Amino acid sequence: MGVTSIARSPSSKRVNKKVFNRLLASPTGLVGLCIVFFAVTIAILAPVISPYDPALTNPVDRLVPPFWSEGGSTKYILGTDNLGRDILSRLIYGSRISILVGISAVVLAGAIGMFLGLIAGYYGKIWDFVIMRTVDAFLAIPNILFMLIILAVLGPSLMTLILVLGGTTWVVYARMVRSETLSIKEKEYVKSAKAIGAKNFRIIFKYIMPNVLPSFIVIATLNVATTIILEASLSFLGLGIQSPEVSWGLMLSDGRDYVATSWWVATFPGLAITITVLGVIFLGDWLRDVLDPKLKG
Amino acid sequence: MEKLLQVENLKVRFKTNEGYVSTVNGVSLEMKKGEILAIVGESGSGKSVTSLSILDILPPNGEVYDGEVYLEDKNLNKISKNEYRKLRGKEMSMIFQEPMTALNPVFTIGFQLRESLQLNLKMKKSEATKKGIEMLELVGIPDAEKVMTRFPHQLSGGMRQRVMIAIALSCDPKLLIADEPTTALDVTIQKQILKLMKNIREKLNTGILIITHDLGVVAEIADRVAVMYAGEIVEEASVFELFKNPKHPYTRGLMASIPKIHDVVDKLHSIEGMVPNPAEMPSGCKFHPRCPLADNECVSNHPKLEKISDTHAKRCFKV
Repeated sequence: MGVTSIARSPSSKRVNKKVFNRLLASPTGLVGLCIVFFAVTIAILAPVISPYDPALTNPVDRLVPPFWSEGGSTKYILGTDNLGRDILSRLIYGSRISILVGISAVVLAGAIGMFLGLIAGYYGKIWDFVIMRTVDAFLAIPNILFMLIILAVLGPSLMTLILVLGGTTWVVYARMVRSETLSIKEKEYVKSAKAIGAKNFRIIFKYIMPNVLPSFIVIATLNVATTIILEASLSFLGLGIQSPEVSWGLMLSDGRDYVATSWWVATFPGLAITITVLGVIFLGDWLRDVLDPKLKG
Repeated sequence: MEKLLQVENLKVRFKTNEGYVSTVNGVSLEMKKGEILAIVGESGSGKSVTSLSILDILPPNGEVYDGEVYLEDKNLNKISKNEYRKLRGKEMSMIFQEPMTALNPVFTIGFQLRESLQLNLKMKKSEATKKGIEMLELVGIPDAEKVMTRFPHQLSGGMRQRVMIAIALSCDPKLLIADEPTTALDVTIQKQILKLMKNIREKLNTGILIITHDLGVVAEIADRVAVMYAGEIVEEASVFELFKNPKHPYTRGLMASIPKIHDVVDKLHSIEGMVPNPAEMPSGCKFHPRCPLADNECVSNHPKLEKISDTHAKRCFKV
């Protein structure tokens, strides 16, 4: 007892310190963390820091450019859109839905894909056949068409949007996890686990899953980007977020008609998506390195 | 000495695209407690498959279709999959050839040592840690407490093989199967590991079934040897007998293939031909296409394994 507690406490502290040091040593990881932290803080504090109600229209101040442009005013720092709504306030409120949808849909899809991919790859045979043919069927239907049909039937709402995005994009993870599982289950440490009498579920979750995780995280963070864009497409087609709620995707599609005359309407939500996605990718990359014991000093 | 393991007429086949292929054709073995038995043979002779079927961890396309395995008095064919799983690790255990990949890269050595103990003996974490450190010390790892917190990639090949042995032995199994445990190691480490396995046999009275193609390893460690060819045992003898007086032409061929340090020869001796493909086994004696002594009898009749003394048996008409 005494031996373990003495031996363990400094080592776990050391690990935490190491993780922190490695974050400092990796500038992209630090940048990623800052961006994601910033975006999440803004989303949480939206009602406090937003200068206007994001849905408040003002026909007099339509399409006011940002303050540094000719004709802009400091009243609307990033200008207004075609209905005279303040773009900064909309960006701040839009972050809530974009981040929520992006992350929850990826978590949902990742969980389904991870589980089914592990089962298909590990058990093979009929499981593999049924799961992988389902995946093929999903891939054969154009994604956006499939989502549109479901959304049209269920009716658009935040919850259905997340369910639909998660329920259609899991196939990517399932395929990746299955193929990794197929190679990892032939490794000798899996054979050794069998030789010490480990149960199948233990082998799947303790031996295979942690070794699939690094590639999985990379795909998942890249997919946060795709999901935010997909949400934008669905909102653009009128089946995603409904006014007066606002998301970056919706703002992007609102701005489409004015790209030639009022660039700021579409540019700022576009930038917000790009920067957030980049932050998530940086963070994911760093996370993968931290989780890989081979890279721990 | 008491009987530990008995394998009776074991037959294993694999399902392939061309139908069933039989890779082990009636192997019978017997081991006593604390005995070291070596199975020797070329790649594809069925020696690994034999060991995997003793533990019931054949790949999904393989199956034992005949024969019986007894551990002490227990008939292992009659117990459920679940009971079999409980025997693994606790009663019998296995170490593999490749120490580089035989440990889970994402967990510490300590985690992996504790796992088997917590799983099979229901030990508490602190107990398991203590026992783990003891096991590491037993297999000759200095600074065991520190090694418990290390990850596999931080250890050398020899250290990893020691850890593997520590894990395999942690629940004090009666039978340890070692599938080419030294093949991936360099000679000095090889020697240390073999010495370690011998020590463990003395200390814990564990029966060790060692599978190898290296006759040097056999001479070093084994009490008895079974030579396998094409899924059959062709000769079985005590180590001393076998090296002094090899009977079967295949065994003789193997012995002759060992380069001797004092003889200067241009070309090393080799046995002509290849191990037959399990799907196209020759008729009669399976070794006849490569055998210098073969005649018509060998082509048409399949020899039985017959005893020539208490400690020696061979499967050949000619010697």
